[in-house]
Amino acid sequence: MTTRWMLFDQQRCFGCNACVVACQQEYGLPAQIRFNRVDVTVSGTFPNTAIAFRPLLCNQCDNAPCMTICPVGAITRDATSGVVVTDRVRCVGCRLCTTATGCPYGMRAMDGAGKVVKCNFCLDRMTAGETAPYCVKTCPSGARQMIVGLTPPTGTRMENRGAVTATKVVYGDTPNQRI
Amino acid sequence: MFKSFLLNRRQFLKVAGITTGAVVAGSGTAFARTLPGRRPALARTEDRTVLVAAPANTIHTACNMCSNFCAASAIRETVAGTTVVRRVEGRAGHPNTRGGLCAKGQAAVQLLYDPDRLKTPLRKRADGSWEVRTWEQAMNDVADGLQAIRGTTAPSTDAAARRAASRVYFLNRRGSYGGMWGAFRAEFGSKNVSASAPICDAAKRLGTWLGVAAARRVRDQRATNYTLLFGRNELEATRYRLGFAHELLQNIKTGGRLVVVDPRRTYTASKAHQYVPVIPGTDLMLILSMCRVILDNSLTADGRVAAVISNTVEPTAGAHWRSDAWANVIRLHANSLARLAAFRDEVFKPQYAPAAAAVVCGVPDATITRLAGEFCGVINPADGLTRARPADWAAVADTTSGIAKYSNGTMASWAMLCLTGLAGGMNIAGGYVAVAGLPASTAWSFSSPAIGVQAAESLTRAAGYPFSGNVGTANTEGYRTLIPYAILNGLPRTHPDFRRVPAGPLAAPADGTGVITTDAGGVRWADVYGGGSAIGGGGIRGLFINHTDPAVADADSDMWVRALPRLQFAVAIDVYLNTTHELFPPGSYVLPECTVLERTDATTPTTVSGETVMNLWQLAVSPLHSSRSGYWIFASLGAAMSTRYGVAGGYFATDAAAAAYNTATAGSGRVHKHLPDNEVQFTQSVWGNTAVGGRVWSTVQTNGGIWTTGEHATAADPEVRFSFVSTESNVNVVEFRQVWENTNTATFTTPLAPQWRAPRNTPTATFPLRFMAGGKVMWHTMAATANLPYLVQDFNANAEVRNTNYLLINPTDASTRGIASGAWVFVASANGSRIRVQALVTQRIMSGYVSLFHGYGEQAPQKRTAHNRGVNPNRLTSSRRIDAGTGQFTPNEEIVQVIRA
Repeated sequence: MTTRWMLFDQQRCFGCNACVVACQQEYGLPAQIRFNRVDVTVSGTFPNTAIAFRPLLCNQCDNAPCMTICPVGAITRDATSGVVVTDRVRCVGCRLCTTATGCPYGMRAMDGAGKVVKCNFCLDRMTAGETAPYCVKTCPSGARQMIVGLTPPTGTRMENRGAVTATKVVYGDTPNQRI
Repeated sequence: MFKSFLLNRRQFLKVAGITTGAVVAGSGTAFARTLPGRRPALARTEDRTVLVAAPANTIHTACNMCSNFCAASAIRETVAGTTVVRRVEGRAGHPNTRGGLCAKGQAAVQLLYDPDRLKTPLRKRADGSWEVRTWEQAMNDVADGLQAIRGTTAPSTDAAARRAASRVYFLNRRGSYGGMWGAFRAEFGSKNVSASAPICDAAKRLGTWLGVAAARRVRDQRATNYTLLFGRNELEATRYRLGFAHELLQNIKTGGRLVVVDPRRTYTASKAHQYVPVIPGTDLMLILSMCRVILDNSLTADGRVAAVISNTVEPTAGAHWRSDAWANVIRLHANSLARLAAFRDEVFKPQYAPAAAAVVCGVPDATITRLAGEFCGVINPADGLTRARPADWAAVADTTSGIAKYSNGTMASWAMLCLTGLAGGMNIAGGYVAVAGLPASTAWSFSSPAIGVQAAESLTRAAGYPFSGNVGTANTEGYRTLIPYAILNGLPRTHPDFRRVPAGPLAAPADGTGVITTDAGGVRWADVYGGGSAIGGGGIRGLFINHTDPAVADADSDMWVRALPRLQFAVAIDVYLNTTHELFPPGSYVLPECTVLERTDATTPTTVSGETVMNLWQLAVSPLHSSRSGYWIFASLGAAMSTRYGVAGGYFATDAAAAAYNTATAGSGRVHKHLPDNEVQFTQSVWGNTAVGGRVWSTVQTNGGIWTTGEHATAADPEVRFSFVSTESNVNVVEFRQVWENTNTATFTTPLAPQWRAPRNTPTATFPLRFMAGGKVMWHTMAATANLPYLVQDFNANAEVRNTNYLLINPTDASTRGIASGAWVFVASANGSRIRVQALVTQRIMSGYVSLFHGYGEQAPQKRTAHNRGVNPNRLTSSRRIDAGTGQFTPNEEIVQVIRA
């Protein structure tokens, strides 16, 4: 049962990377590891150059290939939140889930102990009454939003403002599509 | 791969004083176990485990990673019995930030626990190495070093003593306790002081003063219909307020239109409805041509303006002039007709006709005309058709140093205000707003009577440069670009590094006539500094630097490299040992100040943001190592000077203003004590302080939670005014006017109106490309953050700033030079310097123009992350070519050649 939805407003995202560093600082990641990043693409010819910003983190896919590919069943879906989680005890560090097949978004990494790590929507950092991960809290432009609810957040809030992408959408192929 | 990270953990444990050896188990990852400030361990098998550890301890404070001073909270916890800062967060709903916090703010924790920080006072040995000293030794030696230059214990009001003391130059940028630092300088007696304005936004400040008789006005982004940004890159380098980025994007989403004028396709331009590439340094021509179109077609917000311009209406001299269309009052100066006519006469000159202007600025004349109509609301951007001006139309043009760092930067900044004024954007919601309620500076600033205005005796004035006091800080800045010359002036005249101080436009000629300053003893100050036409007088012999790195940050870096070792003595306060310090002469000192998370600082009104909001920096953890707060350092150094060189009662203790200040702050809930005595923590938000005339947050909330609501000018506010021309006799502009008029005899007008002047440097056969040393960005603030791995990581291959700096070059320019993206190139400029850097061939920059971000090229080996990372572009920029009105060097109009390495 999915209850957590991360919405992105790409019109608001401007690639400041505050979300990246906030996450790294909270989780003590070395600078090479990002649970969360912003892809920048450049296209066109000057002066009609287009620059686009696309936030990326674990998509918490409905049909998560990382769950399928894991040989030891260490990757499961949290029944309450719908977030894909990794059992650190079971994980043997085979790295299969970090391949392009295991995660087409490239959002899984190995930590210093040889275990797979990734974004989990800050589930273990949330205290009572708090739902916003640190990337959401720090965003200077309000480009991110964490929605908690049983139904997918379509047609509401940021969607109405246009150009929205969301992780964890209901039209989940393998992996999820973005809207 | 993670070896260095684990090393950092051990270093952290050491620097944080954690000696128990306890291994803090992780809450989710192996990284977590090695974090400073990790929460206590809980047994768990999955990373979704909910921790139930004690709640983190929150300390409300403010960020100091750049000069925006965003409100922030330090989240603390206890690790092995030691209080550590776990992270820093923004403050939800804060009017200055809109609740966010940028990457730099997040990295404040990494700065706090950086193992490369200065840990103790250091004295430089003759062999160039550094010797650890105690604070007592340091204070005594620094006092002796400064005193050896001053050479007298006479009171600082004595002319001879002041002359000698002024051989020590005080250089500040982003150091805390600037008031204390300035007061120390004043007590010591030096008249030479500079901060960041001459290398930052001095031209904008002076241009603003010319228009509105104040150094700053702030645009109200929330309610703007049309935003026109000239060289202002809000989304890469938010200036003054982080909240601008949020408000700009929100404004776009709610119907506001954004147009960006810039030679580079910036991140901000990528969000704009229209991007207008412009030839660098010609924005002024574009602006004045738009003004001409507006006047020529009576597009002004108020028909009476057009009537006045056409000499059909005589406004009442000196009266407040209330416009129906303008939501508030613009007080025109006396002789309004003549003033407006002067502006009209200027922009009606043939050179400003759109067709002629288009040739200069590279913007098609049809575009100039259309932009003028759109800006005034009478052309619908959606279809290009004319329309009636919408009700409550608000349009605003804004800039920062993007157009200011040209030799016409002051005029461009002023003209931009005139453009906004013509469209009715002054003092209305959605336009430029004044700030009401800001307390007088004497109410919150440490102000010593001895600080005063030192223009007459300063190096800047003696060298013949105009003095514009209000473009700087309360300490009234001189031109820091002159400093290395004044140091090298002390060398024998036959020495190859001997330099004269470049003479300013007001310098006395060789015959002794003209503007020249002497002191009470009849001594020519130019002789003291070797400025202007004078024979070398020994120049500057000492430097007192507070948190700045001119050998990397200032123009003509190689000149600084030559000059700094020639000093007699130098002392610096900083968090790191940097390139500048490494160039100090033997015997010099570097003193470790703690970071913002380790001190409680006096409140700092964020005047740069235009807010009546004050920041309070509060101690989150006790100072690490042997670092001390700036307050402690200045007070202790003052005590050492007093004890050893006889100022009765001490440097600050007998100062009436200081005593009054301390009394005032004691009653206001603010604290201004040195750290060891101060553990007071405020649990309430301190965003304003009624005791000194500011507003409290509740007031802002009453106003709808919006800082500008209710803050627009009123008829009762005599300070809100705007002028298209200037006859100001104010000390801040009078000398600028004199210089401008002296150097524009062919087009001289009285009163002075914004006038076009071409950039002094244009491409040549030898140096065919325009060059810009790019400014700070959201995730990097020059030398101050260059050592933080989180901020110099390679976020993305297409990111504007990466883990090193690249020369941005258009594919056309690259192709003709055989340069591929990633290739190494040489960049050479007319000042004789050459750098080697990697090229980034990109469609984000116009042909004929290259750009290289600064903040790289650190040479101090102690900053291990920053050391030799990238290259310092300021080596290429000339410090001899400055904006005469502001002393601001003009790096944006540098010209270079680029060849494949």
